[in-house]
Amino acid sequence: MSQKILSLRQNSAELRAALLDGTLRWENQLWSVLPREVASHPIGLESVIFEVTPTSQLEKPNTWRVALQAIRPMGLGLALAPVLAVLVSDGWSRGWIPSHRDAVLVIFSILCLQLAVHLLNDVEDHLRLVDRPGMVGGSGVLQRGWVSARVLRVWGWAFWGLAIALGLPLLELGSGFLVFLGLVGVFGVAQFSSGPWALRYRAVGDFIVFLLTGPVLTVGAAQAVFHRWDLSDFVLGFFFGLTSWASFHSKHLQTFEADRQSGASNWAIWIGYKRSRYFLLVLYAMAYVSLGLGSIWGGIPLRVFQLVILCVPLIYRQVLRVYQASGPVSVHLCQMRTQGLKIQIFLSLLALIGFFLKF
Amino acid sequence: MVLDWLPKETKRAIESLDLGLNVYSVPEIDILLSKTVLFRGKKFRPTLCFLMGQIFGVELDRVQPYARAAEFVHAATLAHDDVIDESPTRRHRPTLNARSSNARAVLAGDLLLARVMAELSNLGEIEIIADLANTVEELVSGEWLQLEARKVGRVNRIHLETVAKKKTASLMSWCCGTAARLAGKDQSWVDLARQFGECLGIAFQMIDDVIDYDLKGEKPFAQDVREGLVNFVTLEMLEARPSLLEPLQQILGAVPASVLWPWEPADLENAAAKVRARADAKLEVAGQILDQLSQLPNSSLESVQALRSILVYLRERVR
Repeated sequence: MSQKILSLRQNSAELRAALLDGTLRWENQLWSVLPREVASHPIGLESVIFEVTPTSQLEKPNTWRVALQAIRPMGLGLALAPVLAVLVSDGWSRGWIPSHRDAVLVIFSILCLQLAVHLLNDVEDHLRLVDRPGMVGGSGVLQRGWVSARVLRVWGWAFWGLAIALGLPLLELGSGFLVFLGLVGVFGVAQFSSGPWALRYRAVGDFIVFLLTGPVLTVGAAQAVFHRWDLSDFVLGFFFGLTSWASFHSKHLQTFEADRQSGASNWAIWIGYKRSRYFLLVLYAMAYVSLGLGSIWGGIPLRVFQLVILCVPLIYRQVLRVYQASGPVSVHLCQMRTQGLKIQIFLSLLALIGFFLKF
Repeated sequence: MVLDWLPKETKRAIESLDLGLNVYSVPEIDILLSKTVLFRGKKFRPTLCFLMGQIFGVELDRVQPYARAAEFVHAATLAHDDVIDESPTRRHRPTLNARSSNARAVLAGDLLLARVMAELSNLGEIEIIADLANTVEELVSGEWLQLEARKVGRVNRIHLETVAKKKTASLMSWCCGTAARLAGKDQSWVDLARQFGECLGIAFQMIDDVIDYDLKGEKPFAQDVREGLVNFVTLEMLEARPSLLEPLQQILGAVPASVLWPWEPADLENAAAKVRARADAKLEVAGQILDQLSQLPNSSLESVQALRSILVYLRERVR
C-alpha cells in the first residue's frame, strides 16, 4: 500500500472538506485522507498532517459490517435498558396497563436518539481532531476511512429526526410535563456533541449523560407508555443513570491522558486523576444504595437488588484495575471502556430478569 | 552516516567533547563507564544541542557543557536500563552490570546524574537545570510505565506514545529547548524547539520499532517481544488482527528457542508500513518547525540543513 503525507492548513476550506469527505483530489488522483498529526503553535504552526492512500488501495469491509460498527451496538443498552426496565417493572411486575402502541414508539424513538448520539459524536470528535486514527474512542469507522463524516452526519441527523417523528404521537394534549421531558431529551442529544454548546466537551457532559439515560428517560418512558409515573420510576432512573455515568467515567479514565492533551473537559479531567479513581467507586456505590433504598421504600422488588449484587465481582475487578494502575497512562486502564460497557449490560440484564421473575 | 552532514565546527565540537569524569575517590567508575555506556556512542543528543545552538545563534563553547550533560544523562539511563533489562551486551560489548555488578551499574548511573547536577549548577542557568530535572523525572516515569507493561498484550497507542515521549523524546526535547534558553528566547520559542525534539524522538522510537522486526538488523528479530513488550508495530498487527492477541500473549517475554511466530509476513509488512507512515507524519511536523526556526535572524543555514538531513535519514533508515 503506497501511503504519503499531506499537510493542510488549519481552518482552511480544503481541510474542512478533507475532514468531511475523507477524500481529496491530489496529483490527478482520488486519495483517502486520514488526519494523523496536528502541528499547532503560536509561532507559525497551524497545519494538520494527513496520511493519504489511493482510494483504490484502501480495503473496506462490506456496508453492513461498517454500519454495525458505526452504531456501536454495545452502547445502545445505555438508553434501551432503562426504558425496558420501566416497561417490565411497571407493566409486567406491577400490572399497570400500557399503551402498546406508545411502548413501541418509545422504544424506537429512544433507540433512534441513541443512534443519533453515537453517530453525531463520532463525526464531531473527528472534525475536532479528537478521534484520530489509532486513538481510543469512537466506533473506528471514520478513523479507518470506511465511511465519510458527511455521510455519517446525515445518518445521525436522520435518526434524530426520526426519533422526533416517532415521539410526536406520544405527546398528549395538555401533557406539558411530557413535552418538557421530550424537549430535554431531544435538545440534549442535539447539543451533546454538536452545536454551540457541545455539552460533551464540558465537565457538565457527564451529568447530562446521567440525566438523559437516567431519571429523564425512565420518568419520561413511564409517562409516555402508562400515562403516569411514581417514585420507583425515578429511583430506577437514578440507578441506571449512575451506572451509565460510571460506564462513561470508566472510558474517561482510559482516555484521561489523551483528553488532557487535546484540551477536552470532562468530569474526570475536572476533578483530576486521583479523585477520579475514587469517584468510580462512589458512582457504583451510589447506584447500589439508590436501588437498595428503592427496594425498601420505592416499590422496587427486593429480588432486583439481590440479583444485581451478582455484578459486584465484575465491578470490584474494574475498580481494582484503576487502583493497580500507576497513573492515567498505565496499561491496566486499557480495558476500562469495554469492561465498563460490559458491566452496564450485565447490570441491565440482571435488573430486567429481576423484574420478570415473580417470586 | 549522520555525522558526515554536519557543519565543520559542529563536527569538531562533537569530536572534542570531553566525556571524562575524573572521579578522584573511585577512579574505577571512570574506567568502567568509559568502557561501557560512554564508549563510542553516536553522541546524537550532543549533536542536537550543538546544531540547535547554531540555529539560535549560541556559541558552541556555551553549549558544550550542556551537550556533555545530555550525553551523561543518556549514559546513566542506559546503565540503569541494562540492569532493569538484565542485558549482557550493548553495542556488541559487555554491559556495565555484566562487567561488574548490578549494584555498581546503578551507582555508576547515579554518579553520572550527580556529576551533571554539580556541573550545571556551577553555570547558574536555573531554568535549564529545572528543565533537566523534569526531564529526568520523565525518563524515570517512562521506564516505570514500560516496566508495568511487560508481558501485557493489551496496550493502546496513547500508552506507547507516552512511553516514547518520556523515555526517548524527553531528553532530545531538552537538548533542543536548552539552545533556545541559552539564546535568551521567550517561552514560546523554547516550547517550539522542544516540540521539534519531541517529534524527532517519537519518530526515532517508531522507526526503531520497525527495525526491531528486521531480520538483517543488529539485534535479534523481535527483541521487544522477547523482552515482553508490545511496540508500535506489534500494536498495529494486533489492531488489524485481534485474534493474534492470545498467541502473542503466550510468547511475550517467553519466546521459545524454536518459535512459530503467530503473524503472517503480510501482517508484519502492513504494520511496519503503517508505523513508518506515522513516523513520517511526526517528521513532517518536525520539518514544519524547522521551517519556522530557519527564519531566526542568527540561524546557521548549515545547521538547518544538517537537521533536515537528520529528518531524511530517519525517514529512510532501514537498519
